[in-house]
Amino acid sequence: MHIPDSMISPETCAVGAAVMAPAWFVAGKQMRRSLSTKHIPLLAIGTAFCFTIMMFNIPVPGGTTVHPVGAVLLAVLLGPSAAIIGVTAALVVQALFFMDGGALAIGVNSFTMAFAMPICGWFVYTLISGRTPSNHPRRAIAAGIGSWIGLNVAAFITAVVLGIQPILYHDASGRALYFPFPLSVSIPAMLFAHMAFAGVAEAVVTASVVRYMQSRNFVLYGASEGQTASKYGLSLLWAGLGVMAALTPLGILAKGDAFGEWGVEGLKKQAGYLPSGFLGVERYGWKGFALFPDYLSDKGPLFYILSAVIGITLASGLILLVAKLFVRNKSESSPDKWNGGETRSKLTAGELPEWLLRSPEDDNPRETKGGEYRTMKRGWLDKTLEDLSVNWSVAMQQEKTAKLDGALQRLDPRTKVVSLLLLSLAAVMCNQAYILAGLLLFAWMLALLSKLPMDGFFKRVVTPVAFFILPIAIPSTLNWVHQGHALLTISSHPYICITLEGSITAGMFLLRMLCAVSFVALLSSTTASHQLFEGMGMLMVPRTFLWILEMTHRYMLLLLRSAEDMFLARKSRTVHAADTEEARCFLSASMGALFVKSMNLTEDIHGAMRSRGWGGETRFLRRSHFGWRDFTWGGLFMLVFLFSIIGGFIG
Amino acid sequence: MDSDCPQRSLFEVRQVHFAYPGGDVVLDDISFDVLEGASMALMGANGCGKSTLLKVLDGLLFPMKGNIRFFGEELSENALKSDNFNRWFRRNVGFIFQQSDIQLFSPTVEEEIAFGPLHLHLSPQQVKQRVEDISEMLEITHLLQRPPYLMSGGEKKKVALASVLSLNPSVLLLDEPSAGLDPRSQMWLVETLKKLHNAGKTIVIASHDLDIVDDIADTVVIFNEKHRIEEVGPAKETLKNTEMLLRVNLIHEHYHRHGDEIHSHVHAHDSEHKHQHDDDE
Repeated sequence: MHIPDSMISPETCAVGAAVMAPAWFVAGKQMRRSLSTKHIPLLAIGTAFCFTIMMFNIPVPGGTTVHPVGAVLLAVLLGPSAAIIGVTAALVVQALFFMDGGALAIGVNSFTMAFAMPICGWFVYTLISGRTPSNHPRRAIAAGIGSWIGLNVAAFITAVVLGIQPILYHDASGRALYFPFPLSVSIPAMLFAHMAFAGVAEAVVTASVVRYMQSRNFVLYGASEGQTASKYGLSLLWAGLGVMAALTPLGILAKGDAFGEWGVEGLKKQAGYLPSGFLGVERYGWKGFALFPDYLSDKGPLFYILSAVIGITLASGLILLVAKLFVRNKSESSPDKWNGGETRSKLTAGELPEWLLRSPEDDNPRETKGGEYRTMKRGWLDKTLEDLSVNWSVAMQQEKTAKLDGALQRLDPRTKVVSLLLLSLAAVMCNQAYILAGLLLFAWMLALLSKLPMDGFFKRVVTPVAFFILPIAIPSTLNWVHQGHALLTISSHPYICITLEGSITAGMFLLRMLCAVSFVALLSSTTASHQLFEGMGMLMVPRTFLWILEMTHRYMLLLLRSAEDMFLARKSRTVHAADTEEARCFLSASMGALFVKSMNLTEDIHGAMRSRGWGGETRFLRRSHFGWRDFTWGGLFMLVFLFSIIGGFIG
Repeated sequence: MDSDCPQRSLFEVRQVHFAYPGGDVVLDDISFDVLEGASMALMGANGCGKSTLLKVLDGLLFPMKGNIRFFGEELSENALKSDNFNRWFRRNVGFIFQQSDIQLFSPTVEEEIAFGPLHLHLSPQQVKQRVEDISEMLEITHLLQRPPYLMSGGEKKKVALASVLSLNPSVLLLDEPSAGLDPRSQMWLVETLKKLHNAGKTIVIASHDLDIVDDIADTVVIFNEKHRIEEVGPAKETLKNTEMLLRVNLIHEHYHRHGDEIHSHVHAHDSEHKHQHDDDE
C-alpha cells in the first residue's frame, strides 16, 4: 500500500501533507499532554515495534504471505494518537532508508496508513467493544474487525488517490502522466486483495495479539481494568453497526453516482474531459468490474443501503468466525489432553529421566538422516528471517557508506536534505524524457563522486522500481489502457496489442521513478542516520519528532535483532513445516512478546533518561556548519533543479 | 553498625516496602544507610530485589511505604517534580543500568556522553570539555562518532560509564556492572571503580558476583530470597560467613565442597530459586 514517488503528482503529495499536518499536530499535543515526558521513549519504541512487525510474513491460504501494517493494533494498545505518530515515523524510516514508499509521498502514505486506518479501526473497535473491561474477549474481536475495516478503508483511499491521477494529470493527447489506471481498475484491484487476503490476515493477527496482551493483564488503551461488563455493550454494538450501515452509502448517494464507479458519461461530467485511457477500458475490458456498479445504480439507493448492510454483516461474520475459531483453538490446548496418561513414580530432583540417556535415533528408528531428501518449502519463517536481516544489513551498509570520503559525505546534512529532495521533486514533475535521463545521469555521477559501491547502489535503486514493472508498467503498455499505434499484436481476438503510447507512458513512469528513488538513495547512503534526521530540521519538522525518529532508528535495530532471535530459535526447533494455523499462533505470540519487551524497554529507557536529568525539554549538540562546499554544491543543485523545471515547461 | 562513624549519611533508607503492580513484593522492610565515600555492594540471588532497590535509590521508582533521604532531603515523587531539586539530585547521583542498550539511547557516543550535561544546563563549552576529558580518560575517543549498535559489550559498558561520569556525580549506582563482560573488561571495570572510589566517589553496586564485590566493596548488604535484608556488615567478614551465603543462595555447595547432607538441602533451595527467576522474567 506504500505509494512510491512518481506514481502520484507532486500536487497530490502536497495535499496529503497539508491534510496530515493538523492530525500530526493534534496527536503530538495529545501525547505530550497525557504522557508528559514519557511520550518520547514510548513513541520511539512503539514505532520501532510497529516497524519490526511490518517485517513479519503472515501466511494466508493459497501459499503466499502478507505483511501486516499494525496501525490498528498500535491504536488499540497505545491509543489512536500514538498510532498516528508511530506509524508516520515508521513510514518515514521506511521511505528514507529502505526505499519503501516515496519520500515526497509521505503525506499521502501517512494519510492512508497512519491516519485513516488507525482512526477508522479505532472507531469501529470502540463501537463494538463498548464499555467492556480491558480483558473482555469482545475487545479482541473488535480489534480484529476494526483492523479489517481500517485496512480496507486505507486500501480504498489509496486506490482513489491512485485512480484520480489519470483524470487530473495527463498531457494534451490524454496520455496519463502518473498512475495510468482509472478508478474502475484501481479500486477493485486494491479492495479485492485487501478484503480477501491482507485484511483477513491483519484482522486475525491483530485480534490474537490483543488476546495475548489481555492474557498478560495489559490494560488496553482507554479501557477500564474492572471486571464487570457494562449492560450497554451489546446494544451499542448493534446500534453502531446500524449507524455505520446507514452512513456508508450517504456520501455516495450525495454524489448521485458511486464514487469511483463513474461511467464514461459521468466521468465526462465530473472532470470536464475524458482521458483517452478510459475509452480503451470501456471498450475492451474490465467488464467484470463494470457489471456491479451498473446493477446497483439501476436499482437505486435502497440497494445501496442493502448492499452495505449485507457487506458489513458478511465481513463481520467472517471475521467473527475466524476470530472465534482462533480463540477456541488456543484454549483447546488445555492440560486435559495431557493428564490422561498413566503416571509413573516421580523422579527425584536432578535425576536424569531414562529417555534422556538413550540416543535420539532410538526414539524413532524409522527416521534416518540418509535417504530421500524432501526440500522444505521456503515459508513464512524463512521469509521473515530474510526480511529482518535485510533491514539490518541495509542499515549497516548505510552506516559504512556514510563514512566514506566522497563529495556528498563532506556536505552539511541540511544542504543534502533540501537539495536532494528538491531534485527528486524535479524528477517527479518532469515530463521530458531527455531531462529525466540527464537527471538520472547526474544522480549516478553524484553516486560515483561519493565513492559509493555502484553495484550496491544500483541494487538499492532498481529493486523498488522493479517491483512495479509487473503490476503497473507492463499492463499500461497494452491497448486496454492506452490506445494508439500498435507495436506488437499479442492476440487478435480479443484484440490485445502493445501500443506506442502505452510503452512511452510505461517507460517514462519507470524512468521517473528510478530518478526520484536515486536521489533519495543518495541522501540516505551518504548521510549517517542521525545527521540525516538533524538535516530534516530544515524542513520545519519539529525537533521532538526528529528525536523520536533518531531513537526509533536506534531501537528498531535492537528489536529487529530480538525478533530475529525469536525466529531463529523457532527455526532451530522446527522439525516439520508449521501449518498456517500454527504459524499464526507463533507469529501473534511473538508479536505480543515483542510488544511486552518493547514496553519494558520504554519504561527502562525513560528511567535512564530521567536519571541523567531529562525533564521534557530537548537539547542537542550542534555539530554541523555550513562551509564553502555547501554553498558551491548547493548552488549547483539549485541550478540543476531550475534547469530541469524550466526545461520541462519549455518542452 | 557504624553509628559512631564520622562520615555523613548519603542515603538513609527507612522501612522501605515496594511491590510491583500485580502484587509481587520485591522489597520488604528495607533499612540501611549509605555513607558518604563508602563503597557498598547490595548482594543477593536473582530476583531478590536488589535492582529494584537501586532504581528506588535513583528516584525512578518510589516505595509504597517507608522513606528515603538523600543528604537529609526527602526523596519523593513530589520532591523530584521541583526543577531545582531534580537537577541537584540528578547531578549528584549517576545510575548505570545492567543492560547498556537501555542506557545508550542517543544516536552517537558523543551525543550520549553530552546528554546528561546538556540537560543539566551546563554551558556548551563545559559540555564539550567534559565529553573530551571523559572519552580520553576511558579511552573511547575513537568511538565518539559511532552509533551504539556497532559496539561490543565491553565498549558499550565503557560508554555507559562515560555517559554517567560526565555528570560528575558524587554517587555511582551500578546494576550488575560485571554481567556479560569478558575477564579483561571486568578487570578494567574493577580498576576504574577503585580509582573513582579513591577519588572520593561513593559507589553502590548490585551484584551476585563475589569476586568483583570482594575487590571493590567495603560494606555489603545481603538480601535473602524473602526480599528482606539478611545482614549488613563489612565485606571482609561478612563474605566469610559461608553458612549465611548458602542460605541466601549466593553460593552453591560446590563453592566450598561440602558433603551429601548439604547437597540435598541446597537442591530444595534451587527449585525455589528457579521459581523466583521465572516470576521475575
